[in-house]
Amino acid sequence: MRGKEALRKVRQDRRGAYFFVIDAFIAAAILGVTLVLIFNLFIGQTDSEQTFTYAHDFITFLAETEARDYRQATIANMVVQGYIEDPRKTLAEQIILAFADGNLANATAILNASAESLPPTLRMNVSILDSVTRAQTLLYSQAPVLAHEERLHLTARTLEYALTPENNIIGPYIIQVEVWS
Amino acid sequence: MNTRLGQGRVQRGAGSRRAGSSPRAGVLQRRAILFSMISVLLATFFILLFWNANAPRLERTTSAVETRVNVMDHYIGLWDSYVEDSLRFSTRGALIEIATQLEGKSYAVSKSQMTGNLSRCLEEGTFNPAGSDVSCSPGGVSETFESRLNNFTRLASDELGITTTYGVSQEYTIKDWSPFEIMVSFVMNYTVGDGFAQWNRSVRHDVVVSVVGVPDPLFARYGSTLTLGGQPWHRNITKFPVPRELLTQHNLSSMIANASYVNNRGMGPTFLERLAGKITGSLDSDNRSGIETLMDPADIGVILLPSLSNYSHVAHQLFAHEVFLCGNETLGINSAAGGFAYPHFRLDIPHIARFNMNNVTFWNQTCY
Repeated sequence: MRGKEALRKVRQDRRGAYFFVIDAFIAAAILGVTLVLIFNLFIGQTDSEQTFTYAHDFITFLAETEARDYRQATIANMVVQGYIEDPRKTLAEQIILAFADGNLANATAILNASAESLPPTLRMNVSILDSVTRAQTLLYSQAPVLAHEERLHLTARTLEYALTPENNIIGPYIIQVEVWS
Repeated sequence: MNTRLGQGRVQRGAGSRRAGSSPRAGVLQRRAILFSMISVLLATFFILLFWNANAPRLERTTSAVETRVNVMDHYIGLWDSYVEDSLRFSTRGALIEIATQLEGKSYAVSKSQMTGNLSRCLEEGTFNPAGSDVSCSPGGVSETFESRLNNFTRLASDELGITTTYGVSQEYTIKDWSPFEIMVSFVMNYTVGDGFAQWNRSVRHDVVVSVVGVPDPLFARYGSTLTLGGQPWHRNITKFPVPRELLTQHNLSSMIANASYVNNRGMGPTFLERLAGKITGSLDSDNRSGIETLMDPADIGVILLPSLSNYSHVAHQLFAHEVFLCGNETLGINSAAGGFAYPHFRLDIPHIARFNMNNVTFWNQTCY
């Protein structure tokens, strides 16, 4: 009788242990899922929002800032040397005029000077899209991203055109800013 | 009885085993339930703790709306600017094309014809001043005003997801605005949308177009018949930086040498009057100041006199006078249109140079 009773108790203990282990797994899963949801839904948002703000603000900066209002040495030199003919035009217009003139180096120099205010660690590409051929030309790249490092890829775009000194219309073009975080 | 009692004990025993079983198993089960309760409480605690992180989420939504409004606001401003710049560019191209095509033609283009044909010219790139279509778009159909706008809206739709529909609610009008400018006006209704919201606007565009650099229609029209010194006579309108009222003898000579134009209300026809073939400007109350070039050298001596406006200029003499003789060359066109013609004038060296007459016998000639 004692042997049978002992055996039954052992079986009961085993059942209890299984229940304990299974319940522990369930608890761990609940905690794990909760933490994953918290970190994915809440913690990561600020980063992506800030990154997109950089992209949008940079495009707005290019589209609305006249070259004469941007106190920067490279831009000032380009005005003095005649690469920028009309400093009253915006930086985006200067980029379009340089691009249409086939002078990609000047377009890149303007973007390089304009991106000084951005964090150097921000991964960003700026390209221009032709309205007719839709061909995309990369003008500027900052901290180029490696494919396996990409987490979040955001794009901000704007439509721009420019007038030559003879009042010919150049464009429209799409200026595109891509950022990764 | 014993058996029943025994059965009853067995049943109670089975019941008590299910409830408590062994003491160790009961402890483990209670701990497991406790852990589950703790994990659920922790999960609830974390969710409540990070629930405030909804603030950034709301902030992000607000930023997205703000960004969308900023993008649309920038687009609408750009669209209005593009419409005006395209209209200015296309109108100027049309004026150059129409003036150029007047060369050697017998017809002229009246102001009512300009207004009546401008819409078709801007939309289709053709013009019909004398019963047959002629081009009025230097770059062809792909460079018309409408074509440019369609290209703009298509690019915005394809690449930005912004749709734009537009229409002209009040037809184009054209009028002289200043000595060297004309004005084109029209009202555009348009709708801009981005899939979330739509903006409806009606905008009146008054676009000033410079005629500097445009061929002078009078010279273009009569150029083939006025061959001075064996050369056809063409002039693009160039603006002399000093207005007529402030001309001195020194800068008058410069103006003549460069064949520049100055303002002259009444005597000088406006650009639209020149298109219409008018040689002498009108003095109507709504008439803007006209322009003239190659003034009568006789004016040089009296340039500062108030009676200056009663004098004509060489170009006017050439166009308005019936055929007259200057040296041994016959000048002028066979039309007295308007009646006024200064009886005679003298050609000086700068004028002769401008007319490409190199023969010294023409110098200082008085023409009759």
